Amino acid sequence: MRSRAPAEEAEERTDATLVVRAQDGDGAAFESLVKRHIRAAHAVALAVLGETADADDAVQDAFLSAMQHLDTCWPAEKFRAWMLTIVRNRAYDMKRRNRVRLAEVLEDGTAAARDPSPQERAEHSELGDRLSTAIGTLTDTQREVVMMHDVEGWKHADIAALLGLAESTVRVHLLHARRRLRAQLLAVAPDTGPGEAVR
Amino acid sequence: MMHPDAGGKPRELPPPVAELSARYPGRSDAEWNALVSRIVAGAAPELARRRGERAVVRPLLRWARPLAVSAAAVLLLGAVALSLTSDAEAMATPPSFAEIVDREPETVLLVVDRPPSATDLATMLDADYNPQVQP
Repeated sequence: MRSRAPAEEAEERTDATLVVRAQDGDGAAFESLVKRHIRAAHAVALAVLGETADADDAVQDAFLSAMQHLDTCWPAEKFRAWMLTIVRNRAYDMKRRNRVRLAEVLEDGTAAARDPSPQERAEHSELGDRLSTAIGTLTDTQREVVMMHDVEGWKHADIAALLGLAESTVRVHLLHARRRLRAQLLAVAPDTGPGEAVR
Repeated sequence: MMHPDAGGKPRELPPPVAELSARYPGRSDAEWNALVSRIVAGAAPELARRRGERAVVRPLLRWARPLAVSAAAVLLLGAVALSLTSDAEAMATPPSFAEIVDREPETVLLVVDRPPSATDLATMLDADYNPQVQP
């Protein structure tokens, strides 16, 4: 029988085993945990923040924070739920900070400096701007549900478990989110700029 | 897709907004790997710290467990030995002054029909207490 690489062996272990090994400083175990859960973590962060780059930062911060506090992950087999909660909290912290920063910039009267240049404007597609505007009109829960379900392909039950809601409630949020998104997208005429989106 | 609405009657779930998936295209494996690498690199100092910490603590833990087990066994054996001791007198505490005076004071004093003297009290406090009162 051929000997297997540590990373390969770690892939086959349960979360609980990997957590215990990572607590002892096993890098391969930690890497396996990251690989195993990064997509779910990113989905959660993206659902809160709405921007891929922000979600990347939130996920990175969350995993580093999780590593520092790994001893508090108990029971170890609940690592996934524990991790996703950290990611979600971190994403909301980041969102709050972004809002405060934006408010400070606007207060300073430097908003003009943040206006995108023509080149930046061109980089953002019209569709992206319209969607961002539409997503901005959703409640936090509606946005999380629709992003996790329609973008990341999560099941109702998984979303319900993460958000602590009943599955039927998740469906209702999804229904309202889709309706509102559609209405917002229709309300923005194709020839209007993003700034003239539905108020 | 149908689902019951609040009133109990089924309500049709509208189809997903197609533009959403267009706005968030899937990422390539290379992008995911790059993100994983960044995270693992960021965690390297903490992992190294943990490895060092465990290297110091682990030998201590190896000795701590057998020592704790031995101490518990000694305590248990001591408790069992004490409970089996038949020398109850050795364990008993000497009677206090109040216990001695309360033993039979009325009868003693009624016999002689006088208040107790210092000698009576000294006699009662003595280990070889004799209930007979001196005249």
